[in-house]
Amino acid sequence: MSANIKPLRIALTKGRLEKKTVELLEAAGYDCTAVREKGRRLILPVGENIEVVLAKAADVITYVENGVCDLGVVGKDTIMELGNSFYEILDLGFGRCRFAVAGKTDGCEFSHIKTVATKYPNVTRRYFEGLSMDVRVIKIEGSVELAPLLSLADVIVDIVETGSTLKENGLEVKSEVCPISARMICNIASMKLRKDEIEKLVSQIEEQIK
Amino acid sequence: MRKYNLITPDGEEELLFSECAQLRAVEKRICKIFSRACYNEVRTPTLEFADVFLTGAGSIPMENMFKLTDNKGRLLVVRPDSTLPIARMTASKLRDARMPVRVYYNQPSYRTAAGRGKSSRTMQAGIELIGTGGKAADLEVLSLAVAALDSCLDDFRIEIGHSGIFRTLAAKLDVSDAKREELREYIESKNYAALSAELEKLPKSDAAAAIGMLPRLFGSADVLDKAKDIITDDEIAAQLSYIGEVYTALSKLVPGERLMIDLGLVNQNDYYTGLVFTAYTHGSGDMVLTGGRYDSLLGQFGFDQPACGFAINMDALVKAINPTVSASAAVPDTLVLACDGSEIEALRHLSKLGDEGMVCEFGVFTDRDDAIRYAVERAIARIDIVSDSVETIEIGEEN
Repeated sequence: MSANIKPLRIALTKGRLEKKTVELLEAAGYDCTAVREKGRRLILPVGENIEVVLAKAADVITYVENGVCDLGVVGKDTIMELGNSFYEILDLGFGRCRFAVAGKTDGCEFSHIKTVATKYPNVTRRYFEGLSMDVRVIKIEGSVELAPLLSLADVIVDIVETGSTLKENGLEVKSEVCPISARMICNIASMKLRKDEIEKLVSQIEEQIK
Repeated sequence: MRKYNLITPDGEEELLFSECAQLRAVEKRICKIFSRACYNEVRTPTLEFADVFLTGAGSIPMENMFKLTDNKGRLLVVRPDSTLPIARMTASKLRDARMPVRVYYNQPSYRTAAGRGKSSRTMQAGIELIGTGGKAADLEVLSLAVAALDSCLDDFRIEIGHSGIFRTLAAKLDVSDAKREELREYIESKNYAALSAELEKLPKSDAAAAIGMLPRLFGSADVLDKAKDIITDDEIAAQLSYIGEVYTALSKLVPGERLMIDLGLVNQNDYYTGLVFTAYTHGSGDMVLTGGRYDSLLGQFGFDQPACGFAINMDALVKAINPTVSASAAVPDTLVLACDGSEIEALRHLSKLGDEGMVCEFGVFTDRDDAIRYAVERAIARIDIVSDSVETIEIGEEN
């Protein structure tokens, strides 16, 4: 029984991270035509020995953790929010932005923050716990910037790239939480069972991002 | 109020028919390997005082345990692990026993980890060899781990490491416990980027450089040579050569391609004090087996004895053996039907056939045609109708 005949399966976060990863794979010499012309298919072959699965960020982590995908490409923001029982083997360098606390320019002082709106409740709780600040966290699904404007929350914790959305809405960064970028993650058992294949792919990708 | 009377809680799962049979078969095989090596079975309580799991090294995070209180208001937890209760039990009940003591267990443990497909209950079978240290004991435990895996799997990887390596190196760094734990987590998750970023903030030292290399130091025996080039510390040199000895000995049991060394094996279970090992297999993204030496754990319960053991994740093992089990009930060989008044004779006939090795079901029908229809539907090949005598009907394909 040689299970290694199975292709190496990589889960990609749909959208921008997917495009960037495909560029990397192509630069490393892999044929990604199937991914570029995917239509509605969700599992796509790349070259001979790789299979790409397209998924939402949180699902990339679920697939890799459960071992149905060997590798995954996902943002550090999702990793921080959902925890990690997998290997985080590579900082891919793209998808760079940062977690930040933002609020109204004329909002309350930092130490007086009581309510925080965010899409990332775990990251938010951990950050404020670390500062020994007791805050109420409200989970918001989209356009978190609305929360302080409508006075639902004093501040938000969100991903900030250029800060222009904040600026247009009269918000500013109050504090930086941490930088973020796309990461390659790996299932723990896969790393041990398919070490050679994975190390080969990782070093090919590493060369492209140097 | 909404009633949850038809569903099970997140992370729980029920096993039906063939699923039970499969688990049972694997348990039987594994337990036989343990007991023929003179390990005796123990069962520890399902509920324990929380204190057992909150003492020193090896304590389990509060938020990962299911809790309740007894009728005096004392905090209880549902067994989250079997090694700590066995250490407690040894320290209280087996204090006067002749060492070494060999025990095995086969019982579930519970952690609050529901969501994303994780189960809160893990069926675990494992052994503990208590009251003896040294290489012979480590190899005994390792050989049983290999025998257990061999009995169930065509292919697996077993890797060995040493918990002392990271501990010795980290002790040389001038960092807080929290920072040390952070470094450990980066090594455990092979997060090279974060690990080197964190180490760059520290003053340059041989220890920091060596820690930075740990997550990459896994693979075959040449890992040890690489490590010896990087790490010059005497204590670690001794640990490395110990792993080398164990590796050489173990390679007589396990083909080279299945045996690995991982110097980045740093479990959160920090009760390990020496050799640590883990096994993986295709078809399960989880570790199927984890173990190691824990020489200071029993001391926490006031009974200072060395010990070594491992636990097999039976769910992961069963899943790896047969990933696509569907629940199906066994089909009986014979349906035994009683004529009115002959029920007891029929049941006697059934148990006689049972003694002969047949699987028989009692036909609870009053009508002969109903019984035949039932047998045909369930593909039961034979019906025995018991009155004063026994009439046998073979159900052919034509029915």
